Amino acid sequence: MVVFFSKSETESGVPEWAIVEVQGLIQIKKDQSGPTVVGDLHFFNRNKHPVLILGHHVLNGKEMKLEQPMAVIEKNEINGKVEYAVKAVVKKKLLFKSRPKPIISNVADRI
Amino acid sequence: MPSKREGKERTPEDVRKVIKTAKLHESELTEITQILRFPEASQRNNNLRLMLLDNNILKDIEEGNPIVFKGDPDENVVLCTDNKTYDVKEAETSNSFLLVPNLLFAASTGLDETIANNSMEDSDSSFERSNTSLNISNDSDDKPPRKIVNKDIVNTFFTYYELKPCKPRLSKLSKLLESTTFQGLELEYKIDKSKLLDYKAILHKVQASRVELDEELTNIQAIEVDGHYRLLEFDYEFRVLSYMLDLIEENSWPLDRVSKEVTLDSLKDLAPMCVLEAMFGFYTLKSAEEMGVQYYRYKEDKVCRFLARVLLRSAGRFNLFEFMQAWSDSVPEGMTTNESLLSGIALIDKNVTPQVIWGFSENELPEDINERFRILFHTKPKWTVDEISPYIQSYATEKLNVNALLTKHARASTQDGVRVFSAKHMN
Repeated sequence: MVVFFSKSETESGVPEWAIVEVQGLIQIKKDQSGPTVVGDLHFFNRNKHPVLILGHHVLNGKEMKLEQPMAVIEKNEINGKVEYAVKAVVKKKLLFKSRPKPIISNVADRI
Repeated sequence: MPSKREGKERTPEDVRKVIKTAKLHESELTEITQILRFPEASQRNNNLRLMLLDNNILKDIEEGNPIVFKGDPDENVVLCTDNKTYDVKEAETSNSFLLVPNLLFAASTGLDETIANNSMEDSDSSFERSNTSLNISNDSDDKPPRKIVNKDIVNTFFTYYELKPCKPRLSKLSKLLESTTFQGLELEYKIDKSKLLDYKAILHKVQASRVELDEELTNIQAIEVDGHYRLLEFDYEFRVLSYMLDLIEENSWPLDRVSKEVTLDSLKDLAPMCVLEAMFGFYTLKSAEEMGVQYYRYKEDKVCRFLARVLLRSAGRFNLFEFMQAWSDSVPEGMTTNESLLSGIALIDKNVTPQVIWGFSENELPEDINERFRILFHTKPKWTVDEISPYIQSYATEKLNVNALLTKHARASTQDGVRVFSAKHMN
């Protein structure tokens, strides 16, 4: 059996997507319907490092080139025939590997 | 970690508040905040997979060259580019990979001097910079509002596919072709036409890239007859080769003055032209060119080996001396037979009187490497590296050469100063 990769849809080539890599589990429940905010992503002016505010935690990370690039492939069934398409390639990621810093606040506001 | 409130859009004020609570200074941050979020259920995509690439495949993808997955349900899937084959394995990670299309990296989130002021002169930008640092000390409210962009996470991944370059899995090819061997036009009625395969069908079934498959088709001498790839049946190949070799004597050609034109023309009624062309290609090399005429000579080793196989074909052992005599008589005059040509097709036992030889061919051995070693050592308890190499060569890879294979599957010892290999376990 052979499964083809269909040509990527855009004429201008394959789009580049990004990966945000965090430790632990960030997942959405299947039944959750509306959009769900995960966190706010900023970059420092000074050193271009990313910072992610995620719930009650601040995560400091850095931008990294992937050692090996990745392809995002999509499995589709067209008329009962399985086909793959390369949706995008990923060459860079934001890696948040340091221990999350908890936000300690006396403010009554909940985040 | 829990995800936060759903529903309504966040405002710059919301984001500012969070920045403040997190004890970050807004002025230290670039001006765009990207809000990572899981989109509505309808926009999530559970059909996506991540696959690690190497630079060759990346290039193929970017250039739009075809890549395919290949594998029947009972085979491990491989990925093939035009010229390489890769093993596909799934790997896990304990981190979460959030896949985000159109994510902005630092350089594109503004307020970076090089980006924001790329049209300005150096002196201006240094002024800007001092301005920025001023802002840090007085974190006031008169800044332009924070820009907010929502970025959707299409999915979270904990696994990805890994690709490892591997040898093409070619053993299936001979199996696919062996039920339809070509035995001459007069016997074509016996062939089950539904089993005939064209190039495309073979390319789809065999776990190899196009380039690797082409090489192997040449290697196993598959011939395209009427659009289908066929192996020549052994006796038929012998017949055609004999016709061809007989012409040397008939025309009193010196061995390096074989004419392709005369050969094909003389035999055109005896075998299809495509077979003759292919056979001539398999068995000859260009030799001299004289007055615009290209001459050829037969590949001596190949001819000798084939004729040895013809003699050895009938099962059983032969007296080595008689065999060597018969073999030498069977080849065209001027070609020399040599014991070393028999490696991989016959075994010789010199410890008995009279010395004997018997046919023992690589492609008749089992494919499973353990089973193969068992049979090899059952047939002959001790082998030198040179003797055993032809029988296990096909398992060798760049990382695992024949010697490494022997170290893994056999026991080394020294016999009369020669290193020999024997079975690892007594069976």
